[in-house]
Amino acid sequence: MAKASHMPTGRLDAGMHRRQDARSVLREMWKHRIDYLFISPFYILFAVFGIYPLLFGIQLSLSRWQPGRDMTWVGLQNYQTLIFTDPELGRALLNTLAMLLWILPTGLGGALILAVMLNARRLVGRSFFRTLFFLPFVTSQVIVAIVFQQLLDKNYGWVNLLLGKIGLGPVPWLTETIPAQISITLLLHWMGIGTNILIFLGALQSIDRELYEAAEIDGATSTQQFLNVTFPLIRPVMLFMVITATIGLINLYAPVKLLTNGGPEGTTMTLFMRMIDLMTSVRYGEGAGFGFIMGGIVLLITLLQMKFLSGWWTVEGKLKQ
Amino acid sequence: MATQMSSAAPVPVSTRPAARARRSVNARQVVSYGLLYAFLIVLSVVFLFPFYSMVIGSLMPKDELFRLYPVLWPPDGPTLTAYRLLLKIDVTTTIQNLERFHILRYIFNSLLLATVAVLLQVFFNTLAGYVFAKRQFPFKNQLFAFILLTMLMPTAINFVPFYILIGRLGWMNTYLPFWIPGAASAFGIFMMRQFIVSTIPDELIDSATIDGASQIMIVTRIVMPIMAGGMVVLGILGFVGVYNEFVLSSLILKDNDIRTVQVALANFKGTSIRAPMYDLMFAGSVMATIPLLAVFFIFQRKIIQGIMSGAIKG
Repeated sequence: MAKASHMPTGRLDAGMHRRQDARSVLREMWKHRIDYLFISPFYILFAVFGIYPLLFGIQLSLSRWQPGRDMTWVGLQNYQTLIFTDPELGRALLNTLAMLLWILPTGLGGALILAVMLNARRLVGRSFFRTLFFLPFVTSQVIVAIVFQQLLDKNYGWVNLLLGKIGLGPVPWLTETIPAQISITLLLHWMGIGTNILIFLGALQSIDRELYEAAEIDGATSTQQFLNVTFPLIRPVMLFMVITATIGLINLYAPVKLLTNGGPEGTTMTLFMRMIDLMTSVRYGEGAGFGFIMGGIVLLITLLQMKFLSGWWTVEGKLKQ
Repeated sequence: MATQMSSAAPVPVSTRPAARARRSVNARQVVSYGLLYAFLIVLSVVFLFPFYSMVIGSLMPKDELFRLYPVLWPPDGPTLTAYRLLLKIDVTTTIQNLERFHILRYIFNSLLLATVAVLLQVFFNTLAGYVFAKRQFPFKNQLFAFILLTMLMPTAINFVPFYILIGRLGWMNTYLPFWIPGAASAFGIFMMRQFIVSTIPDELIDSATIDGASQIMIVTRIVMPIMAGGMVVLGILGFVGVYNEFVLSSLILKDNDIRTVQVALANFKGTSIRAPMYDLMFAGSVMATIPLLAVFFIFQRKIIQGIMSGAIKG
């Protein structure tokens, strides 16, 4: 870089500098070729299996195509069909949003309460309970769906037997809208709450105990301690979990497919299921368009969550009050 | 108690407040701890019940599963009939589809699929994680930021064309779609980079470089042995994910001989709600869960620590 010093001054000099710089950067890169080689697999795979399908998907979503036939350009027709003609997208979207509205608060809230309980200072058997709640992690969605289908069976299941003992039911858990949605919620909570508890516990245990002692000296009750110390400090973790849980719910497929198959009458149909249905019925153009609409929805919801939740209930915010 | 806690969390907890708290035990605390235990124990029973019903259901004769009142224990004692049927041990059956249902084959397929996928993932992600953690080169920050950015890309956005691409490559009914595209992942690279940054001192790499070790030697002789623990965490999380994967495998693995156990069980179940063969499905489910349970109990501490500390700092 310094070699340019004997060159004439002015614009020419700057040009030379740039060229020299570019050349030395290239030389530097060549020197580090092994490093680039080591990280190259990710970029190559992402180009082939991420970017290429993305570009192909844009073309596909604007075309009508079936394997072995020519692709016909149809403009925005697939999107028009999906949004205005086909009632399934709107219905699946509403189902997904409804599930988000009740699964996110109950799932994350429940996990947080359990984590706080497991974090109790003198609890014996903490790791036993922790492991136990986490155990469903090893099961697959397929197997859980099989087990829950039997537990929730209208005639032979345990849930209705117990409800019958207190004079309720029998509830048609898998064949009516609201019970079916509750069934799916139960299944997801059973499978996922252990992981959420672990993440919350990790966050809770990283909070300095002295903060609680200080709060105690100031006469704060345990509820006040939770609201003013615990919650503001685990809020970043909370935001992270809201976002990942949202994405997981929007991509929900196997439990619903196997437990209710989207029924009764499409009331538990999820967005991802609808997209797979379009794909397996060889409506590739619409399927690709559906993917872009879903991607847009995911990004929009994520951005809204980041915008509205990141400034929410912070330590600073509480101090201002 | 304090030591128990610090074993779970990286942050050490001082013993002083615990000792002080122990002295101030009062009646109110005894009651609240009593309620806490009662609640946790009831919840534990609820949490374990699905496992129990799966295991005991696999040991019941088919008719017992369709009694008007389900039972906690088979009245005539447990039976291995369902397992014998599934493994086709000295029984003849007229059950449809069972003749073609090879549970051990499917479990083997799943193990093969997951093992190769995980070996590739761990190798390539450690390689890239090391480079991003310890090497300096032009455009490093931009390249790493790009990797993080790709995590924001929604799965659904290119799912349909990805599926078509798999077909065009001739990868239908092969395990390549599970091995190749995921061999290097943004999450894995990020996680291994964080592990390596906080575990391996720069001086170690520098002195090895001065001694003339090549980069590949540094990775395989120094980084990988030290990072074995982190690689195991990444590997197990990956293994559980791939072993239990359903969406993609149900679409790609259609041939009977190549199915994973999840696809085979789902297929055996069917999607209709009528007269499922619960005894056989439960027996199959128990057999399919055993490998993961084994992995879980061997590496329990590592998995739990991985999820509590490493995985969430994203």
